[in-house]
Amino acid sequence: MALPPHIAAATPGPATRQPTYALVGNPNCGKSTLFNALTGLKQKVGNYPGVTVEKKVGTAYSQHGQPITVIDLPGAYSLAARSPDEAVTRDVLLGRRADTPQPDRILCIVDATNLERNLYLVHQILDLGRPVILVLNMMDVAAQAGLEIQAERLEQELGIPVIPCQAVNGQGVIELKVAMSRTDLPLPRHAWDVPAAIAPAVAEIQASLVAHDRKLPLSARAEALLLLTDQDSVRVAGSTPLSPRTAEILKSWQQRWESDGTDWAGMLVNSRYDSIGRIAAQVVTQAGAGGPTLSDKIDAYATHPLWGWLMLGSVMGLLFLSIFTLAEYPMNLIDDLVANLADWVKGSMGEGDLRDLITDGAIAGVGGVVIFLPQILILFFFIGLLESTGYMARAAFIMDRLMSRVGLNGKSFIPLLGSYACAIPGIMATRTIEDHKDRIVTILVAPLMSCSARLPVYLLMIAALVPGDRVPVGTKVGIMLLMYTLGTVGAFGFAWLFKRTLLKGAPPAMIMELPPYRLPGVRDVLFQMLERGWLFLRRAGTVILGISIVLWFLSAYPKAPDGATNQQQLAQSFAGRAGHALEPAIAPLGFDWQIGIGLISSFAAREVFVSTMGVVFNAEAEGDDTAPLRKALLEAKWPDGRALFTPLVCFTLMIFYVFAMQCISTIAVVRRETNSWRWPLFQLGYMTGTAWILSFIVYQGGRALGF
Amino acid sequence: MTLSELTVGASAVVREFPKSGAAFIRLREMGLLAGTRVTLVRTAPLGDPLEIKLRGYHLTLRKTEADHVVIEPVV
Amino acid sequence: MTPEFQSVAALGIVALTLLAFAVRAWRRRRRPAGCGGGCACPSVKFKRG
Repeated sequence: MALPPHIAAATPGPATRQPTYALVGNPNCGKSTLFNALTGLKQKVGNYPGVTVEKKVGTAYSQHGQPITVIDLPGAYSLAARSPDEAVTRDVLLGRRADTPQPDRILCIVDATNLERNLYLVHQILDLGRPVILVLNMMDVAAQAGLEIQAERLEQELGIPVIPCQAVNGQGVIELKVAMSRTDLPLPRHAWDVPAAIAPAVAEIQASLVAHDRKLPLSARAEALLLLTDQDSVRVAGSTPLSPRTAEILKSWQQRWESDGTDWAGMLVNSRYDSIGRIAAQVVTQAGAGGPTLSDKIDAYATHPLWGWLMLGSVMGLLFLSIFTLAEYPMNLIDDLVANLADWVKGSMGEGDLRDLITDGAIAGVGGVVIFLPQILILFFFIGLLESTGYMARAAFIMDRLMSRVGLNGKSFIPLLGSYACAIPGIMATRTIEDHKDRIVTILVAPLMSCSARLPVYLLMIAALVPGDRVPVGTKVGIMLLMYTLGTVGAFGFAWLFKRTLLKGAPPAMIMELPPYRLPGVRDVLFQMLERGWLFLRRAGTVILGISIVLWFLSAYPKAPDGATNQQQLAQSFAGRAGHALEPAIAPLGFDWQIGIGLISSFAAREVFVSTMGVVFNAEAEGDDTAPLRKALLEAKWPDGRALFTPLVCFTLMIFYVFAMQCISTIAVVRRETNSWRWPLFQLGYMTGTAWILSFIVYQGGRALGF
Repeated sequence: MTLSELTVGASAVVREFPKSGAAFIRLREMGLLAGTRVTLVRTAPLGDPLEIKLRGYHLTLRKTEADHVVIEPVV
Repeated sequence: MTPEFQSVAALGIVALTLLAFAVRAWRRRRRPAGCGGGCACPSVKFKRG
């Protein structure tokens, strides 16, 4: 064991504990590809407690079959964190998180085509005083661009192993594994000049970190340097805060510098880049100036004032088309499977509550949510594909100006787009938004985008609204389009409102790298898609299963007398009573208690409204054919004999569905993503409130106009 | 002259840079420093944000930030 | 299985579900920084590293 004493002291030694590497690098440098290449499928994905940053841990095997733990830290440009992702990377590396031990060794991956900027993070990490291995990824691309990089020279300059590599095709991975299994990894020996004006502050903060925050001396120096560039840094739940003494010292230095005009943070960044510039000058040779690259040529079209829009429109169109057409077959398949399973249970069990619980509760409830799995998989496949090719950044670049009109930035575009399929993946995709307020606003408005669960409700209501096949298809499509437009306009309107009132903040910056276009890493994309799909299924199998069982109970108890029809049973049940209790609140919208039951049951998933209406009006829809149900709806009456589903009520009900927040799964995801009950409850309130008010205006206005 | 006034395709060297502000610290960490050579590659279809090239890679920033970056055009 | 037995079993399952939700909420309250054993939570083994 030739580890330096301060590391040997921190780790129990190789005999009792396998070495742990943290994998760190800039976004877009091939980090996930390398992680997948190193660990294969031996990965475990979770969350850092309290923050929704993905935690990935995998096991790699050395040439001798020794297991090596690899923690894949989120991509970061700097340890002075600007997003929750970067904050987790910083906090793990500095040993600030109780849930993740400070890694013994660090694996830094850099994009060889863009060495200078990538080395900035490496430079900060070298300060930590841990053994570091540097991986020069995309050496082939660099060679094509006429860049010659002398890895041996870099090795000498930094004093750490430097491994050239092409993670995409696995070249260099064996050499990397050999280096990773070394027990005698050297410590970095790079020196750089901390500006003289700042040095005393660094020393004082370092001493305080050692004394008051129980940090090791070398890591304390790195942290001191970092604290000085890390103004108003992002804090995440689950990380240990600074001791008050250290925070005080830091503050007093900052006040002193502010008063005498010292640009301390800028000076530190400058001297790092000076040091990096010197290294790069010795290591990198650029052969020839190089004309426009393939990326430049593609971008001339992809971000062109005309072709750019067309391309974005086609990509979006293709995304939608695949979500709604490609997903149809597997969705029908799942639908059939669920129906067959329910039939089989019905056939093999005697009549009774347990059978009903299994078929009407568990199978119907979970099936109703699992049916969206194909759409979710397709959406994540597309998002992954767009991310890995580099087009995602262009979409954000093009859309930024429009999004900034409502106070958001281009990065909110894809999450909102994805919410047309289902708000859950859309909300999960907001993790790429750095600014906390922007992210909350995007999460708050995402469920206003009409998700595909509303589609069956719209279809049923349109069928009841314009009965018969006499009306041209155009009218039906027009109404449908109107609903989608209303939701979209609502989402942007509320985003505008929230950015001006509740979540006021400076307009967010749009500092984003436009990475060169690359061929997609299909394996990595598929892998990520399956991971997300699995998380979704696990949810369906636990929380949603539980909710479905409870909802079943509410509609099955208390029991009606023997011989009652399903309809009478439902009226008698807790759900029916809730519908009755709800009636005074929804009567001004033209809805009676039976529609109220539908509204309540929608919380399991909005399309459950359709099947509930089937039970309420005692007309089971046969497969996709809603004709019997439609007929039953049109025959439904208020006690005084007025028709219940007048065209105006159908239209009002659609308006209500556009705006109302009626999805327990979304509420649960928002709670998890925002880590508090405040936002999901607020969302429930403002959306349902808006839905009520608008429905009231439409219904009462429509009646006044004589509809 | 500021970065937002640069014409598309032209290059310049950064002269002055705002000291504070989270966005500017991040821009520096991304390698945009006094003395760095930048090229304005293009603007987005609606005129904002800008795409610049520096240190061999492409970066976007909004005009509101570019307004504060003082540059000296390179002929 | 008689309908009576089925009713008892079904009610038992409903009670168990409610209990599971209560336990989840309680665990979350006790450890607010953690994610309370919901999905996508690191397992205990994971945390020990």
